[in-house]
Amino acid sequence: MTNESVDVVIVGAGASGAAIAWSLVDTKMKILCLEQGDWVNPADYPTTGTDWEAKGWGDFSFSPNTRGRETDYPINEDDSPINIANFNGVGGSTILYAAHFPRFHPSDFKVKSLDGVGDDWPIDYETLEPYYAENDRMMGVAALAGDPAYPPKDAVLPPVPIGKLGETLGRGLNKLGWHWWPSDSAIATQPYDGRDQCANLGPCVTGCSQGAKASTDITYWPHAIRAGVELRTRCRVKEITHDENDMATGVVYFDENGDEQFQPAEVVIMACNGVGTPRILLNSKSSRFPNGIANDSGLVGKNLMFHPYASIQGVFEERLDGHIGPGGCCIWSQEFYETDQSRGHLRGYTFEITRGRGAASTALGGLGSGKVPWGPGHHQAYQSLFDKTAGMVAICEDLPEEHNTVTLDPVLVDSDGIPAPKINYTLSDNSKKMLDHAVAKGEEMLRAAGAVDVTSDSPLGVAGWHLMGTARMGTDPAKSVVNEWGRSHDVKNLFVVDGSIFVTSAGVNPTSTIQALSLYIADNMKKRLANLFD
Amino acid sequence: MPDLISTDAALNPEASAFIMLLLGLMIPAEGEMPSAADPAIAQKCLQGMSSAESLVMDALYFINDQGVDFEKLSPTEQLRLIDTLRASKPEFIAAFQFNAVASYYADERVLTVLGLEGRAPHPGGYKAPETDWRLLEAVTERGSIYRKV
Repeated sequence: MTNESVDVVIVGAGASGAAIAWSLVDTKMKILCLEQGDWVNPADYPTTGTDWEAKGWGDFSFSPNTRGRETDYPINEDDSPINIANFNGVGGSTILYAAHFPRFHPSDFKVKSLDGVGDDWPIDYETLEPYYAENDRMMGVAALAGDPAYPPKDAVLPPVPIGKLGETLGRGLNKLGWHWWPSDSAIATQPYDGRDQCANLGPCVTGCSQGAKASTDITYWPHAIRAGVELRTRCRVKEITHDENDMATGVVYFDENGDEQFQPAEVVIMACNGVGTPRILLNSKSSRFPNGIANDSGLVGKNLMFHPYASIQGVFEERLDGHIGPGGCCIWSQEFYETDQSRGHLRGYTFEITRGRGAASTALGGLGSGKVPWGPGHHQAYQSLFDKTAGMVAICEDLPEEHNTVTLDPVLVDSDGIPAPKINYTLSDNSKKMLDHAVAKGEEMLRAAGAVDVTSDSPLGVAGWHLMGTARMGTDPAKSVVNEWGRSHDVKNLFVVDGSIFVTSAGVNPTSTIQALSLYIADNMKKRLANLFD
Repeated sequence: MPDLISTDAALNPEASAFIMLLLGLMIPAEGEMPSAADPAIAQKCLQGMSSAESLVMDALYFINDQGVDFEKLSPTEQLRLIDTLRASKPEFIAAFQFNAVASYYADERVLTVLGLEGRAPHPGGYKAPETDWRLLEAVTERGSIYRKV
């Protein structure tokens, strides 16, 4: 079935798709977004029940393979030590993200020039800065101005409270003379743009029942829809079609009944994250594009980057009230962010200090580590851990390597028969050294803060939250998939706006930069409307 | 074994009784903390384990094959046998611990004793104390640390 043509079809309603949909409404073009998932009802989020942790391990798990909803697609992760985390629905992975919202740094765009690794981006921090600021306003970012780890930037909302836990670790960092600062957080610390104020209820990563966390279903989308954008859910895109002039003609998708439909469009924008976008590009094969559309460079699906994570946790003698406050957003330290070759690795990482573990997670972790036994000693051992455990994750910069890939699995398919993505990924020596450094420094920090017992887990397995690099941007068509403003080198009306276009990963959560890039690309499209396809 | 509780779980009576026994063994009552074999808690665990009946029966057969009457052993001897079970049937132990913990540490009485007000996080949330931002003076005194390009 063929639908009425639109000017712009956006594939994916997550962080980047929402931002570009909102920005492009200025053009008065007819804009349609196709999303394979549903709207999520905040009343369904786990924190409305005491069993929120168990639900977070099941229906609201950030692993699509564990979650296994109808709206998810399977992912073959057998050949990767890091497994994929995502969410498929309106809001995309912002539904389950922590809302930890750092920007990239100026140096992150120049890693080749500065450190001789990876590649430089075709744009810089100054180019993106106004889009970061605009996105901060749209998402409602809580921050404290003056962070010495960044160029000056404004705070939209007051910072999140760091609580006893954050102050305890802050004092430890002060003892060592290390940098720390309250995390930039996409969390409404005051009523903002129709959103309620954060109630400090703890877990953000199973969805925010309060509506304070800036998932795009409650930030960009209400504005975009009011301005005329159509958002069609339960539409799973299979492929992008093109004509004899190498111009995209639209997308083929399966609707909620599993019926195949064709959606004609003048412009196609891909916003499906660093795994979903290359999956569809690679699946869009034709005699002109036998290796997938927009893939003359051969780089679609290559250079996959995660952020290798290490978790370092300490046990303290006092309770820390770790259940109070947004779970993933407390303080950060970027003491080891910029390159120092004496550390034995290039580039660096952020320490994201998180809140305490929940009651069930504490027990499960204690049983798994052997610290909490079965039987008479259970309660005493449990009480020595519960609300006394604090720590951090280290978010390490990953560097692009062509052998880290997303390809199409030859066997595994989703419920519509579309090939599933297959991940091949290995940790680089640089990443391993960086993880080891982070574990050692994390332990030093926790002990300075008063921890009496420190453990670590590195690399974290289910930590593929950040999916980047698989349709990289650049000025050279032989070395990149899209140009410096997101347009495919090969298909002049095909754009990519998600984390796929990242050249390097930096050592921070990427959503802020994904959305800033999306707004930047939208602005470039608007400025070039008269000759967009030249 | 403890009396079976009323449940709509699909586990057969023998498997249910075995799970009840393990719950009481794993988390006994102490002070204000109830046992995991408390009927309300156990019912949730039994429901959670109902999809893993084959694992439960496999574990039960393993115990029965040890040539002892598990019920009549002392708790210390039972726990020793559980260590053997853990080594031989890790999938069962993982499933059981997951369901036991998910049921026990979601119980309002347990959460109350732990100081979590015995309720879901939402609505209500928690009141956070004011932050003492003077702690950051040491950080700001040091000045900018980002790399200029």
